[in-house]
Amino acid sequence: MSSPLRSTTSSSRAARATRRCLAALACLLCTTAQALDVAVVVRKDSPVKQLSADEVYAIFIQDRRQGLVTYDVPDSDPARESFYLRVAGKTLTMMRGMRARLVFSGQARPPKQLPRDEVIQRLLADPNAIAYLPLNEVPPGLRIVLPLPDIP
Amino acid sequence: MPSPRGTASVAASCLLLALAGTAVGADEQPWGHLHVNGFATLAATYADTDGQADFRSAQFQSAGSGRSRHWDFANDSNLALQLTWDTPYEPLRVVTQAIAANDTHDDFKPRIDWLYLGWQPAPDLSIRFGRFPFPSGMYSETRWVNSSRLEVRAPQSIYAPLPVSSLDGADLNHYLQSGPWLLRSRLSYGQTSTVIASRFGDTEVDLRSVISAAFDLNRDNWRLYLGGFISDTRVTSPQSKGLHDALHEQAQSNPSLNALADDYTPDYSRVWQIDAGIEYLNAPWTVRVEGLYRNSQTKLVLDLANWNATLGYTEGRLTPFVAIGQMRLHEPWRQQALPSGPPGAIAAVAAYNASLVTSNETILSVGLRWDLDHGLALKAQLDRHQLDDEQSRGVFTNNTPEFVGRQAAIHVFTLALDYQF
Repeated sequence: MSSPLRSTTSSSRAARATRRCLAALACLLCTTAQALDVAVVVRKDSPVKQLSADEVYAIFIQDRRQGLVTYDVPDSDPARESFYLRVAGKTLTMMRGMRARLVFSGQARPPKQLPRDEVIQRLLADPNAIAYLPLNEVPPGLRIVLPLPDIP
Repeated sequence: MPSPRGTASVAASCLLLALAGTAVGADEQPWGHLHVNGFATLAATYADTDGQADFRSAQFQSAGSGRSRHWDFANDSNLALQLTWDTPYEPLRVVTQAIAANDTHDDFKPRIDWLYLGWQPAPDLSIRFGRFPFPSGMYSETRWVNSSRLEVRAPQSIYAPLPVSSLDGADLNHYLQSGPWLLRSRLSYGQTSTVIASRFGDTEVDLRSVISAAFDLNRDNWRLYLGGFISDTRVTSPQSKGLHDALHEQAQSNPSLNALADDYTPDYSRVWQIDAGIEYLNAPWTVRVEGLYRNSQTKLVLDLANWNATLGYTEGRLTPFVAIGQMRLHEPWRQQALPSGPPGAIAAVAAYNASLVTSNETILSVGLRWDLDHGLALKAQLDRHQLDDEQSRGVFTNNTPEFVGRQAAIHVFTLALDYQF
């Protein structure tokens, strides 16, 4: 027979192990939205001075680009999920479905996807380029046209 | 079991897609820009019909899991490539979408679903000439793009009853932006045709003079849709023609059969349909509701009042969802069964009465979508089909007589892997 103390200890150990397993599973299954402040940026001399959230939505999601060249960072970059959560209220999973609908109905082309470093290079090289970056990582030479701080 | 030819086709298609995947993106060339996109689904479906019927995803399919085969790998699987060529002459664009999928003869083979020339004379206006998606519902343009939705297949109550997915003709798209609102208006005109195979032979379906209007209003997380079409539709098969001729002949001596004969006319009849839908996508919730109402002047095209609702909750990469759909004939078919006779029309009347099957049923679905890396998504879905009418066979086909009006629910399980690039 096991003592009540031992029983309590093993049950709390089991509970801890269960919690650890669930946490590990959650990490495996989920891409957690990072509390990352992002900003929509262009080159300093871009003709675009300021944008509203609706205009950014139209440019990046509805493909109404008005001569601008849009860039996405990869899914693995936390800036991407932060951006789409703030601009469109959609997770990466939801955006994937929505993008599929827009692309395969011929209504919209997705932004060109590049690693963050390359996106910055394109932004610095092209006054018509527009993208989003972490707010605290906007390099000199770029200008913020719409800050998208974390929504509590 | 799927035919060896079908399995080989699925495997070959997957290989083709893997090769095509290397061509992802836009190639800049002096002759314009070529964009290559694609999608694919590999699905396995099991239906517990006790060997009494086959489950099918769409009305045009003629076999599936349940009676013809144990597991079905063909009906919900597909592979598609979409090429968009932005020509050097900027207002012109050529788009083609080739899709390999199970056809009405239970043969997994490719077809050209879209091939059109797009002309954009103004930023908010575009016109398409050629073959483009049939405008029949909120998701008719992405009916085959399974990665664009939570469920493993387009809601059956809305999309299964339509045997066509493309229209040959012209359509006009207009966008009107006003602040956060974006209204897409679409007017289409054209024709299309297809064949529906069954154990009784091939049925030819021709739609001509199709006129369609659709309005899609988007704002933030909301999308509202209202659309519809009207067409002259002809449905002909040896069976229906024989029935019409027999009824028409007997109507010489029994004029009451005249109206019945006209119901099965092999000539063109007017069919119209209205669709309405609403979508709300705001993390973590997905809500979609869509309904259709169809009216037909021929008994060969069912009068329908169907709807579907889907609710999903996204947590990270996982989205569990539930859906419910109902298929209803809005005409009281049961009251139209005829007594046998008059003498000489017994065979025709018996054939008529035997044709009185409905599709009335309620479909309840639960499922899980798991988004993986590299454009992949894994889905599991369990559907519960409850036939709501003693003359109903639901979406099933190849049924035994005992299956019609079956009271026990039928469960359909599907596991699918979607891919898009």
